[in-house]
Amino acid sequence: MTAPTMSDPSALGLGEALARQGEAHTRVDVDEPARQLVLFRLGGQRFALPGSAVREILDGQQSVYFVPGVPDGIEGVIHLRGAIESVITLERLLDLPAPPPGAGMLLLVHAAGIRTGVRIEALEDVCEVGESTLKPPEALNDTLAPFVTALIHRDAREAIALLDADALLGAFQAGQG
Amino acid sequence: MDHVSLVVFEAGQHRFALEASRVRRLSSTPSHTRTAHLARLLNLEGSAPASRWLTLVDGEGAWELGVAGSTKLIDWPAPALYPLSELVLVRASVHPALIGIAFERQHTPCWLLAADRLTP
Repeated sequence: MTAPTMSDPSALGLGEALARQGEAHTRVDVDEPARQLVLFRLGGQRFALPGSAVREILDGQQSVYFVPGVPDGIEGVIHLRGAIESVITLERLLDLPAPPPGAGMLLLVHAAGIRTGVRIEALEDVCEVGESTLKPPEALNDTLAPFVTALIHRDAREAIALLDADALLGAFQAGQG
Repeated sequence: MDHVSLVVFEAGQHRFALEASRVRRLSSTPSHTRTAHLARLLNLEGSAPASRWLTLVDGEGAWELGVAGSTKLIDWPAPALYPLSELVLVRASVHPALIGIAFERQHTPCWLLAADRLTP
């Protein structure tokens, strides 16, 4: 006589479940093109920029010098290893809550022919995702629509909006933000 | 080391500088009819009244630029002078005379002004 067990015979073993979960996060289809992304939070929401547009991730502790006359969307300039880089905030352009001054980190972004620091709330990850995980953006509001190229459903949390770096910096050059 | 002679002064909460060769005269009271306070030209808030007047020359002749605080002549090392980033320069709200920034150890940065882009 076998001892009764409390388990559902169709249930997975713990080891198998963990292995499957780990595989789900690490498996890369070598035949599928992948995109490197920098994932971050902004205004409490999740965003990404293409890794090709992000030249450097800075800890955000640099002194930012306010430039007389700049609009709210330009925080100022930083002195970075012998070069002057502007620092912009995207919240105004994307209609997100304003960030606390100087909080968070900086991404040094090169797009639309210019380079600038972009203030982010927090860095989430730098990762590669398969092209199949990028879904066309749907039901975006008019503010976000020009700047979001795809939505990424990476986990159970809310989708990540992949931003178009050229469109963002192009908008700043055109006087928005 | 290469250097640039700058006249350094204050307006609002900021330090500014003009190339010394562009400043014809420095006085404590204005003597020309054409004058302008730098703080007003740059829309700076909280600026003290002008305490020095720098004589500059534009296409219409001499005029005086009012600045606050002490005025110093500094030979600034050329490698410590930087142009502003393109993203800042293209913004219409930034005065076209604001062209660069200079760093000096232990001091707040100094904004560099192009004298020929200032006019009363």
